[in-house]
This record gives sequence, structure tokens and C-alpha cells, in this order.
Amino acid sequence: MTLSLLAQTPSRAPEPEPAHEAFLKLDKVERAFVYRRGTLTRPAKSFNAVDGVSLSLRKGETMAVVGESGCGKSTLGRLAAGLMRPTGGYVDLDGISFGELSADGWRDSRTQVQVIFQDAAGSLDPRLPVETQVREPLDLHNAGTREERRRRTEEMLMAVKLGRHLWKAVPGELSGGQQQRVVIARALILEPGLLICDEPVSALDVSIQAQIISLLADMRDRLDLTMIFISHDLAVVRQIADRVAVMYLGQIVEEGPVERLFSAPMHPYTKALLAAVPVPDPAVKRSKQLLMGDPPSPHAPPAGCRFHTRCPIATERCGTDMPEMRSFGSVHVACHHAEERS
Amino acid sequence: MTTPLLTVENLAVSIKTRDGGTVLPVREATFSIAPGETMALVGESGCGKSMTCLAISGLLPKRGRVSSGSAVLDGTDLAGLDQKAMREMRRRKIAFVFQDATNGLNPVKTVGWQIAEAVMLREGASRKAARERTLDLLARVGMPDPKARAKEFPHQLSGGMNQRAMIALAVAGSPRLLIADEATTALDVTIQAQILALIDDLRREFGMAVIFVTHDLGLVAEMADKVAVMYAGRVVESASVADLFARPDHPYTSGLLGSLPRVDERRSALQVIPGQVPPINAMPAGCSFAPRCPRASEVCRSERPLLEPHPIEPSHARVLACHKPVERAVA
Amino acid sequence: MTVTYALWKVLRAVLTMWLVVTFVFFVLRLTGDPVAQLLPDDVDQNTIDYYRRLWGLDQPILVQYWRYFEALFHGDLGISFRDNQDALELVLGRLPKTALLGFTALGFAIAFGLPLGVIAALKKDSLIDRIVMSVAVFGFSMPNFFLGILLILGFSLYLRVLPSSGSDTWLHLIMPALTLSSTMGAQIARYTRSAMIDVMNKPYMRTADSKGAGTTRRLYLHALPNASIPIITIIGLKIGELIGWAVVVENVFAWPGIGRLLTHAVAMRDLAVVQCILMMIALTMVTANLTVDLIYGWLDPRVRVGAARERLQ
Repeated sequence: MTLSLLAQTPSRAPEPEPAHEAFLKLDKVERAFVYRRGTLTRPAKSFNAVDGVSLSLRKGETMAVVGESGCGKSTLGRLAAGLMRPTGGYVDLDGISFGELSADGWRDSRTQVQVIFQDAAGSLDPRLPVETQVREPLDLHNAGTREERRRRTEEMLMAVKLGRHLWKAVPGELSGGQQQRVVIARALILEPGLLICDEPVSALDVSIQAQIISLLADMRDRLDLTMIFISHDLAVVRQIADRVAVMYLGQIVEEGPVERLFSAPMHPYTKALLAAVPVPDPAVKRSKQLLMGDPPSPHAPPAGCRFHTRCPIATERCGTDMPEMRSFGSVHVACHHAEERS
Repeated sequence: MTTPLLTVENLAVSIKTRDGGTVLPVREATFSIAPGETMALVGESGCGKSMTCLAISGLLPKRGRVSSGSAVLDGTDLAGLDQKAMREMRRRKIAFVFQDATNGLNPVKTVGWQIAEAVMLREGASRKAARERTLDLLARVGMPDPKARAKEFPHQLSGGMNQRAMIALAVAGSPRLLIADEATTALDVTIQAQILALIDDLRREFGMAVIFVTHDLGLVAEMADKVAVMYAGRVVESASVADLFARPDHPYTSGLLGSLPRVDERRSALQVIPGQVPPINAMPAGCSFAPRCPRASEVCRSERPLLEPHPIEPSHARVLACHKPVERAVA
Repeated sequence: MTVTYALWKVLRAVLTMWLVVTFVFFVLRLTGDPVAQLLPDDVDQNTIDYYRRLWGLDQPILVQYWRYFEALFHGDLGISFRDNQDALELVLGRLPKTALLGFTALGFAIAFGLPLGVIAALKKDSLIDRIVMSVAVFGFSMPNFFLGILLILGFSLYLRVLPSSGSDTWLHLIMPALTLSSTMGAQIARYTRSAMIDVMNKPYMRTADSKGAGTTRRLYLHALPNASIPIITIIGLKIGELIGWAVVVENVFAWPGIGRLLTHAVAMRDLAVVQCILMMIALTMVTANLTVDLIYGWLDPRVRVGAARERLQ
């Protein structure tokens, strides 16, 4: 399996540098998973959890990836982080393709990319004091003298506003919000260029969620972080993102600047998604257009436009032709009927 | 004013801990709900909102019990009922929809069997009649192809479909009160919207009162008529949804609303409530919110505020427990 | 799906049997010469060679192995060196006694272990729970032969109500079966208790409660069908141990079953008989496991019918 995957990693044709340099670039990225093992008589079955996704982020930009469970947004995050190799297309970070890196280059690139997951408790060592865990990346990379490492750890713990009395505590003694602060401190101590956040505040209570969102935004501005923010919560996304990519069954259906996309969504799926989020204001009464049914299984996505089975405006063509991504100013939409709706 | 269907007053729940002590996850829950009305019980995790509802329906864990207060449903005080009478209440009047429908349904029984069981228990139907009624109910909750789905097991259905089955099971026997405990939290937004619309339809059709237990203030604003906000085991503010969202009186409610990101606008900065909820076994002497409250004064730290009408603008429909309510802009 | 599942399990069972037979064959033949063991010390080399040829022991071991399998497929498991009887016949003659003992013990173990485990779980942390679990630990840790001797002392020598050895009436069966069932019964009780406690805390039990289902209905229709899945697995695995203990118990109570036969055959290096018995034991264990696997598929719909809509992430 691994061998065949390596063999499939495509070779890149040299191409001219784009005018504004992309810090992170995904080009037609695919990732296949086997969902049923093969036997002698029956071939293995696989599907593309991420299917031909192209994105590019400038330095310091925050791109949110939204979509429902099973849409492939977490897989996309892992691909962007280099935690997983694409089975098609390529991922470039700061001009270097992840696929071309040697083992050493790989380890160095790890300091460039950090990932934060939803389950803070699960990504911390339950037995080590949090201060040690935050310092650990520095120790591993032998960054500076012992004294310098200690000082930088302290600065970072103060930057994430973790009370000094908690520095010697083990993760079990901290609340969920405090644990997530520790995770953020540990991720940022090597000053990565790219931070991938996979549902970082989903497990937290509202009042704590606001604290962590503010902290992330603050750290991003301070460290000039490029960020991919994966979330199912559109309200949180609106608060933190510069741009938003909406995924459905492994593909991006719409991508654009956050304000434009939220105020004038063009893809019918984006519209439905936004309309489904309850607004905490009883004065706002919106017409609700409910999507019918469940999303189809990603193992066997529908032909043509993948959304056509649930789409209120689908026509015959949508069932047969896969729509191309088209640009309308700063917004990119994959829908046959985009102009009628803009 | 209509007579309330359910009146909960100063309800407290105590739970025995393994080391022989007791904790009080619910200290003072006070609210009422009229027939056909939708109320939201809102608060952060550990505030006692779920435990309050479990207490009302007699589903508390073994070590828990109602230690004081009352919950009167249709003239009967539920707190005083024995197990058998309580079970009768669950058959006739109170139904529950839980958060995680896929685990909330028995994995070794078909979905149809589980709904038919509820029909038999609640409506006293025969096996055959129950089977037919099950198909009706499944169709009513919008299950595609009810006949085939009834023969399937929970692991074969999606989370949304399982939640529909759970709702079918709950509305069997036309309960007077439906408690939806974070019923849509585990679902995707488009599925959540479907399920919420379904619950609201059924409420109208059956004339049920619905209690939404939730942490999602957006859901409260869209679904509920009135709302009770809980903090650290107490209802701290209760009002109509329109009033509460327009003018939160309690600093906690106000902070909660301020800390909420919104899908319809980007806020310049999210308001942050500093610190966290005090641990259940170390509640401060005065107001439990005082340590996090920007308006707290000496009296807040020493004296626990009672749930009363607003001191300056008393109104019957609106109560709060606060010495220093948020000042209202002069009209 | 179901057919593939069953076929796969059967195939694995057959493979296991082959491995066992092969292993036993080589180990027995490589650990000593049966002829030297059977004949008196002073016989001459010719006699020894004669018997060697007669039993095929003069051939290279691989040829012996081939012949053994050839015969096996014709239902011939060899001749007992000791009394010149067909080994299979000899073993089959003793089988009913051991089967009677084993099944009775299994019945006792389930009849005591299951309800006690359920009661302990329902009354968790109460006095009853503690008593049941103490008895279970006792039954689990007390060696079988020791319990057997205690029973003989108590009921045969002191009270004089039960016979201490033999297998003539059902009275003879009580003590050996009880002794044999003690370990397994204790284990079943413990596993039942933990499986039930686990199930009782599942969200679907609260759902059943919210429907207004009564205690009996919750226990029999909701909890037990789920708890039985791990319990059955454990029972299947423990049947193997039961056979092992049967050897000891049969010797303590002079119960004329396969266990006693095995003891004698091993002592005499009666290869064909030992081999036949070991095969029989392996066959029982493999069958028990296979049965468990198949019952498991029947009890648990998650095994029986795969997810129609496989979920992701």
C-alpha cells in the first residue's frame, strides 16, 4: 500500500513564480482511503476523502475550512500539515513541496507547521507538568541555552495567559480551556509559520470558547501566523477567518473573503449551511430553507455536481456535469447556476 | 395567564459521592412552563440543567435524589412520587429525547422494535397494533422508507435518522411534556435544522410543552418562548426570549451573549468572561458568579441573591437573582 | 456477509486442528521411545525391533507423519500399544462419562454464576454484592483437587450422604460436577457482574427507563441481550480450561472418563491413545470457540449485518 502511494506521488513540472507568493499552496490535492479491504476475488474499495482541492494562502492569512462531518475537512488539514501524504496533487509550503523532503528536511519542516486538535487533554501527556511539555519542543530542537529555553517557555506561558500557579500542574488538574491554552503555547513555542487548528474550540463552553478564540487571534497577529482553521461552527469562523472555503463531500464548492461569502453566499450549499445556523437574536427572523435528507455517503458520491441530490435549484445538467470552479471577483464557486444567483 | 403545566420550585438534587460525601449539582431550580409552550433551559456544562430535567422525570442516577423543592406537573408533585408512580408518569406524560441517539438506542434491537415497545408501554397497544403505529410514527417524523428502516439496527442508520427514531419513540403516547436534552448537539447544522423544525411541528400537533436543554443561545432565540438561565446549579435569570435577548439583566447572561460569535455579523471583539465556573464542592458563600463578575461588590460576596422580580422595574414574567443587575439604558 | 463470516471461521477452525495434530505428533515422538517404556527391561533387541516395525516406529519421522495422516482420513487413529485395542474405540468408550461430567459442570457453572453475577450487578456495592464477590474469589482461587478432597471429607466421610468415587448413579455425579464447576462458575459470576454494570450504565438503558419500561423488562429485554455478548465469549474460552481441570477432578473422584485414561496413557507412553485424546480435547475447544463465534454473530447485529452507511472519521 505505502509503496504504491509513494510511486503515485506526482513529479512537478517547473512553473513560473506567481506574482504574489503563496505561503501555502495546495494544488489539485487528492487523498484516497481504502474503506473495504480486498480479498482474492474482490478488489479493495477506496474513495477520495479529499478530491481535487486547490487552495493558496498568503503569509499571515487565516483560511477557514467549513463543512459537515465527513466532508473531508479534517483530512484536508492533515494534508496541509504534512501529517499525511496526498495520493494526488501536491502541497507546497514556503516554496518547498512536502513530498520531496528527505527525513531530515521533514523534521525541520515540522517546526514550520504545528497542529492543534479539538481534544486538548488527549494531545497532552497526562503525567508531565505543563511547563515541561511547553518547553519540550525547544529541548528536542536544542534551541538556545538552558536558560534561554526556560525564559522563552515563561514568556509563552504568560502570552497564553496561563496563571503562574498552574505551571507545575499536570493536565488533569486543569480545565478544558486551560488545557487548550497549554496546547497553543506548546504549538507556538517554535514560532511556526503555519498553524492548523482542527476544531480547536468545539469542546469548550461558550464563555471559555470566546477566551480561546480571542487568544488565537491575538497570537496570530503577534506572530504573523498563517492559519488554517477547520470548524463546523460558522459563527466562530466568521469571527476569526480572513477567507473561507466551504467543503462538501471532499470538494470545495465555494471559497472567498469571509465578509463577502457570509453576506452574499453564491453556492446553494453555502446558503443552506448559513441559513441552518441559529442566530442568537429573536428579532432576526429569517426565511428557513431546509435541506432535505442526509448527505450521501462519501464512499459513493453522486455523479455530476455532488450536491445535486439535495440542491433546491438543481437542473438536469447538475446530475451529469461536474461544475468547474469559476471566479466571480474574489469569490470562487463550483456551481452551474452561480451567475443567476449572484 | 394560563395555568402552568409544570411548576418547578427551589428544586435541589443531591448526589452521594463514592467517598461518602454529597454534592449538589442542582441547588435552586425555579421555573414554570405552560401547555404548548417552549422553554429553554440554558447554561454551560455542569450548571445542572440536565440534572434538573432528569430529576423532573425520575431518571436520576442511583446515587442521586431530589433533596428539596418541588416539581408539580398537572397538580401532582413529582418530587414526592415513588418509583412506580414515577414510571407511570413517564408512560403517560413526560417524554425524553437524549443527545446521542445512536448510543441512546439499544444496539441489539431493531429501531422498529424499540418504538413499538414505547407504543405498547405508553398506549397499551397490542403487538400488532403497535407495529402499525410504529410505521405511522416513523413516517410522521420524516423517516425515509419507514418499513425498511423499522427493520434496521441503530448502527445501520445515520445520526439524524436515529434522532428521528428517538423522537418517534418519545412522542408515542402523546406526552404532555417533551424534554429535549441537547437533542441536536451531536448533529450537523443542516440536520439540526431539520430536527428542530420537526420537534416544533410535533409540539403544535400534539399540544406538548417542550423544554430544550441546551448550551446554544442561537437555538434558544430561534425555538423558545421563554428561557431560564442556569449557573452553578441555580436559575439566575428567567424571562421571555424577546426580553432576555433584548435586555439581559444578569451580568452572567449579559456576558454570555457578549461572548457569542455570530454567523450574521462579525463582532469587533468578543467579550470575555474571565475565569471559570467554581468547582461543585467549593461554591463561594455569596453569589456563585461573584468571582467572575465585573459588577460584583461586597454584598455579592457575602449574601446570596434570591430569585426575584427586578428591583427597579418589577415584572411578573421576569425574575433574576442578582444584587447588581446590569443597568438599563434610560428610555 | 453471514455466509462469508461463517466460512471464514470454519476454515480457521480446521487450520487450528491441523496445527494441533501436527504439534502433538512431533512432540510425542521426539520425547522418548514408547517401546522401551512398554517392554520389560530385559527383552532382547530382536523383540524391540519387532515391535518397532509392528508400530511403524522404525520409519523416518516424516514417513510416520504421512502414514498417520493417511490413516486419519480413513478414520484410523492407531492401536493402543498397551492393550492392542483400537485407540479411537477406547477413547470413545470413555467419552460419554466425561461429556456427562463436563456438561453437568458447565450447567452448574452457568446456573450459579449467571444469576449471582446479575444480582451482584443490580445490587452493586451492597452487602449481597460483596458476599457474592467474596464467594467468587474463593471459588476462583481454591485449587480444584483441594475443593474435591474437602467435599469428600465433608459429604462422604463425615456426613456419609454422597459416594466418594465411581460413576454408577446420579449421586456419584454431584460432587465431581460441583468441584469442576467451581472455578468456571466463579469466573462467570465475575464477568457477568462487570458486563451487567457496564451495560446498565449505557445511554440506551436510560432511554428504556424514559419509556416507562419496568425493572423486569429492562433486565430481560434490554440489559441481558447486550451483556450476554461478552459473557458468552468468556464461557466459550473457559470451556477449554474446563477440560484441563476435568483430568484432575476425574482422578480425585475416580471418575472413569477420558481424563483418567489420559493420565494412564501418558504414564505408559501409549502414543496412539494420548494422541487421540489430545485431538479430542483440541476438537472440543475448537468447536466451542467456533460455536461462540457463530452465536456471537447471531447475538450482535453489528457483527451480523455490516453498516449499510459506513460512517467516516
